[in-house]
Amino acid sequence: MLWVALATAIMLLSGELSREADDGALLAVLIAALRNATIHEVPDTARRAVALRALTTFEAGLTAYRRQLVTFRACIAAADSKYGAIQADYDACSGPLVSERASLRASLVTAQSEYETAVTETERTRVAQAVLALPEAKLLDSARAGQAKSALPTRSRGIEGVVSERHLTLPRNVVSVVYGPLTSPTFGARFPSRIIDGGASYAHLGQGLADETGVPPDLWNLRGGAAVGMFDDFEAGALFMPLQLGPKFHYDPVLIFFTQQVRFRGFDLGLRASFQTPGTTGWGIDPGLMLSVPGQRLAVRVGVFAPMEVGTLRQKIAPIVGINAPLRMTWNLLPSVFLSVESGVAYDHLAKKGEFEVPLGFGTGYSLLAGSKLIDINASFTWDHWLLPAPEQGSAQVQWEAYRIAFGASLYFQAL
Amino acid sequence: MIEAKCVACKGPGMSSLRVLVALGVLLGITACSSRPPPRLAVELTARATAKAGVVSLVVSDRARAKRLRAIYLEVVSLSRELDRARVTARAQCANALEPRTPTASPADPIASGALGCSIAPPLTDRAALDRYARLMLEARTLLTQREFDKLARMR
Repeated sequence: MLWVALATAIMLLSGELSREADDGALLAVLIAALRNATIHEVPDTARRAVALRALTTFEAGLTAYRRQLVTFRACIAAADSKYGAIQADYDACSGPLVSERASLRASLVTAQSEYETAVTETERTRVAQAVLALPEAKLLDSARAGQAKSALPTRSRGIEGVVSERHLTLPRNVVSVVYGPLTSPTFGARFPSRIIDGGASYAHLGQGLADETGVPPDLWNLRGGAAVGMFDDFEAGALFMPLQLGPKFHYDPVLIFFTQQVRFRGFDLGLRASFQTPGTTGWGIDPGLMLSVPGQRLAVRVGVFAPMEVGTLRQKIAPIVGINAPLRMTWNLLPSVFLSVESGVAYDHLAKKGEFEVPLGFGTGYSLLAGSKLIDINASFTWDHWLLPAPEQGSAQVQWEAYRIAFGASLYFQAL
Repeated sequence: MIEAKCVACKGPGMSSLRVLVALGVLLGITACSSRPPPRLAVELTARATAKAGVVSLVVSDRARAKRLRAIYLEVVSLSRELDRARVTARAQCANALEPRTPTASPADPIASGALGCSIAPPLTDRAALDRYARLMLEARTLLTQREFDKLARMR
């Protein structure tokens, strides 16, 4: 309900609803304006009555036309939903339209003549001026010129099923309830003090790393939220249920994200701005760029992010700035089953020496259609601090003891 | 003094609550308000694109899935044709009427025929509709009843 309301509100405010609507409402406004203008501009009672009667015929014609369209659309929808439908089912939809439309046209031509006879040319000019001043009158211009830009969307608004074929943002009006790892909004969400992914996760740090970072050696988290495709290439959302379950239960900072994507032939570029509500190191900001190459079986996604934690107005700290360049390759073994490998480079605190790290992770997932909804059941295993190519002391080292396991499910559906 | 403090404390809280309630009411009204019916082209596109994205998850055979996807995407371009046909039909209708009323100003919505032609344009989109029907029938030949039902549930 909330998502329907939100999607409707956005469609309404952006003018999308009226662009997608049939022209009936606009025509009704124009006829009403014609009626008003005729009442004002035609002083002679008898002629005015004839003109208004002609306009009533136009109104009745419009009602009949809209009824025809509703019946026709319902008939096509019924045929589309019937497995055993044959050509005759579709023909039955358009068959009656021909005769109905012809008789409607005839009645309108008669009404047009009646109106022209009843209203003088000067009065008609004044009536036309009043009506053409309305923004709805653009419809008549396009009717005369035969030009109209199709308001059909440039991007498909259906759910994207196969993981490797997905774009960086959700299609418009598609909602995702994020409660699992490996989703787009959490790709590269690695802040200096915490790594964020959806779903239930257990992170184990070696005692050495735990002492060094001050993070508990065993950490249980549960993170969930939602994302919505607000426009064709713009997504926004939040992980508003960020719980730390252990070693101590508390409410973690909320992650809020906005992504704008530009689609090219064969690849997408995305600009993402993520924010984290204040935690122990204050506000978190994570702007970044992403490049995605979707494919039928194989998808590659890379990003460059500059995560930083900047304190708050009350609790000022020297900003902790890092840099993170994640890489994810996704291979769909089957359309519904995928494997992924994740790596990249990360420097969690640029001011500190020896923080350069290479993570390594693996993931898998299964996409399942349940009615009109799509569910992704995902799991991942990641060594977030796997390789330290240049530690402050000693030579390159591999850390196997610090790992993170995450699992969960994310749900996708069309709000409208 | 204590009361004054309380008022000061409650003030911002109450106002943000009011804003939230107002926002909720506004969203509720928006959700419940009747939306204008979409054009046929929009409806056909929505039905086709809802299926195109998930067809590979329903149909395991890659060749069939590929053809079905192509069919659903063709419906999208067909819908654009439907939109164009509708507008062209109106223009042709209005142009055909003009010689019969030489004194009418081209801007006059009634005498120019623009209004009448907008209300009842001639049916010139039959070819596109026939092609749509053919595509939908072809889709059935590529789908089992179970697959068809699964896809139909998408929209």
